[in-house]
Amino acid sequence: MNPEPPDPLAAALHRELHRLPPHRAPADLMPRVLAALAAAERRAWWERSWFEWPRAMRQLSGLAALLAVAALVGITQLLRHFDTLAGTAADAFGLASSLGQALAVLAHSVPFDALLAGGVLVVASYLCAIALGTAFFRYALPRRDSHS
Amino acid sequence: MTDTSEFEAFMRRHQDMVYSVALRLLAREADAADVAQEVFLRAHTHYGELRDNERAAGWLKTVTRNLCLNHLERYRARWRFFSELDNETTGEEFAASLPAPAPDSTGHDDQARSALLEHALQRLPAHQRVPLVLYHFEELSYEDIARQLRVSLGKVKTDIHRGRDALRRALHLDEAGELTARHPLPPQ
Repeated sequence: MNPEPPDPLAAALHRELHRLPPHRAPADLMPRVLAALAAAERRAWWERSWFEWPRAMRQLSGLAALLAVAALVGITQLLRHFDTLAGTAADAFGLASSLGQALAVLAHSVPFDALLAGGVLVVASYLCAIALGTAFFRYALPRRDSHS
Repeated sequence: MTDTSEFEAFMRRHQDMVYSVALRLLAREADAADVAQEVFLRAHTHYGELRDNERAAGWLKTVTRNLCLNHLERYRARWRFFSELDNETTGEEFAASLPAPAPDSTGHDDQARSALLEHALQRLPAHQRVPLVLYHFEELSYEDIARQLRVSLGKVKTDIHRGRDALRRALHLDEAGELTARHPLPPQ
């Protein structure tokens, strides 16, 4: 508790302020509080804090949390074997690299004109496929009624 | 399950105190009522510990004070700004806004004095009223007030000094705390 201030004015005010009676609370304060409490009671269980959930729901959510943790542990274990997986991927990459080198040797042995002709043929084939597909889609398939 | 009638009795015992603390800090009846409602909703949550506990009143006071300060915190920037503008002129304007003293300077009416003091307290600007209330009503030390309001110790002392000076003029007290004029009833 603060002692009475030494300053006479402050001491006089301290005494005066302490003599003030408390304010009367408004008459509607208690009804408001009780109404708010009643509204809180009417909330659905999922709108309340976890500790107020029904026991079955708390147990179920606890089980779900445990399963999530177990799944996380499982993924962690899987990642432990990542170096094995990485080694397998490296082998596959090495194989692809060898294949690429073989193709390069093959390409060097083929004349340039033949390669160019082959490329043109491939592009022309793609364009023909697109053209045929478009024509087929436009003329062969039944039209849908357009809505105005 | 809390017994409603028991909690109502608990509320009746403490609602005036809670509301008074809130009103003196916030100086607005609507805000004070909102804070008081929130205090009792929290009290209901902790009613198991508060029931028949002699420290219940202290707990309610502390929660009320904290909620009021949180409420005021939202207006903190505005509060700080006006606090920087506060000067002697503002204090004189405050005194001028209160009822003029009666011509005769003899005697005083306690009821009128209390009403005038309460009215003057509510009319104080927040940056003076809050530390004054925390010091004189909540019995906090200057250091605790500075910590709660997150301002410097010097500012707390200055604001409390200015608030006391404004109240002194409202009560027509001289520097020694003696009455200099009769108190009229404050405006309703």
